[in-house]
Amino acid sequence: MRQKAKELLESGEVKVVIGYGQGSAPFKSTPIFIEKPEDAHKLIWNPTCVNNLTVYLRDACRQGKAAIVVKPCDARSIIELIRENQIERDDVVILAMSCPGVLNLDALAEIDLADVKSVEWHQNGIAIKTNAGETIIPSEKAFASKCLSCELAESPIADEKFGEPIERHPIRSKYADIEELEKMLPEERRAYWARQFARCIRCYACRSVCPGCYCKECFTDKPCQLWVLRSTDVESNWFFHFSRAMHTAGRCIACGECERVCPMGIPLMRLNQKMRKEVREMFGEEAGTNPEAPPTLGTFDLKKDPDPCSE
Amino acid sequence: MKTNNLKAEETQQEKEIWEPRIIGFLCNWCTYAGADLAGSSRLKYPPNIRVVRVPCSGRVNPQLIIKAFERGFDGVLVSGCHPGDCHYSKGNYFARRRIMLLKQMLEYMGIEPERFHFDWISAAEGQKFAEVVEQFTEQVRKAGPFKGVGAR
Repeated sequence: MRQKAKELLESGEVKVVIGYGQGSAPFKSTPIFIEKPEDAHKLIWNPTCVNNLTVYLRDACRQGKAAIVVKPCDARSIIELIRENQIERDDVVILAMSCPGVLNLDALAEIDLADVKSVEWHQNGIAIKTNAGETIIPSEKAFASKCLSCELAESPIADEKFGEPIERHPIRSKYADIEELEKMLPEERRAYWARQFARCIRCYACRSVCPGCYCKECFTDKPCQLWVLRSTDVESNWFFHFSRAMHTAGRCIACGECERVCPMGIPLMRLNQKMRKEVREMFGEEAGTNPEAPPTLGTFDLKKDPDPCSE
Repeated sequence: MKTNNLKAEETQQEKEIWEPRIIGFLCNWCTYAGADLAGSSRLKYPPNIRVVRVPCSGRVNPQLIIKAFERGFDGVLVSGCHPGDCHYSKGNYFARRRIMLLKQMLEYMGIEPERFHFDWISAAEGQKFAEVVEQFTEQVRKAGPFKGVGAR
């Protein structure tokens, strides 16, 4: 992958390579933007490469052609960006990695973080090397929850693939959480969400990290405070998250970034997964699979669409 | 104990004077004209509905509905031209997809499905408009006062 990145930069085919670099600690990675061929060695690929880098793609493509390192799940957001005319397919070189799953930071709770030397994939999960020796964390604990229900063996869109396709055995249903919620009474569900959103501090991290949130001006930033108040209260938070769910409807690819970056631990994926499930059941569409298809809510199917009056 | 009784009394009183507050987003070309017809035909329907005239049911941004519930409306009605009759030829088809999804999400967010209603009512269907408002008002009345989205 480094070799390819180097070649691309040397030949001048791309202006920048977006990839993962070593973070502030061995168990962290950080997004890096490489513009010089001699910097290509800074790229890394290991279980700590959690971020969905496609969030930077729109800006990068405006400067010129860009190459990007992606996991199979992230590649789907590139499909969405192409589908919604945010980038041109020709403006991006996709370096698709094969990915056994990424690290769930909580799995490191029992390990002395100052001691960690490296984090690597292991056939049974993730191997953490420390001064004291090697600890192997089993898959169901080591990987982020999105990885446990992942079915993507390889990237659905790619210019160059690295690594072997990985056989996938989801050990968890992706709808497990929402089915639990669906069983509740409406009133209980309302109370559940009110409890969750009462914690929201509206830092907008979920919005900033989302590759599907690309409006130049978000409705929350409008100077007239028509939609949401500047201050946080349950009602405004509820409105914000519900609106965001409707905005990303049909384009959310469930990369799970919103939930990961949330400092208050709000289970936002429970919203997104529900929406994805409904879109799939009602319109038979799944975001991130077909770059040719028009945006889900920007089109219609005369015959097949369900009718809200016939129920 | 006394305070509890007082509270119970109050809520009882509140229930008696409570009337459902309903907001209706009506398409300018069909349902709004239908409502107009209902009025000029002197049909009776409950006064609980507040009407917002929109250019097309496709104009009904889901946020408008979400906002209505956030502000504590007890029910929301959205209505537009029948499929195939849209003034802008396909606005109501877009609305159809969006509303279907919104309907599911509203339920998922804990808003009883009885509080939201979508219908196709044409400019000629004054009678239908009166009936729909009547039925929907009763439906919302049964669901009771909406406690708001922040009620824990």
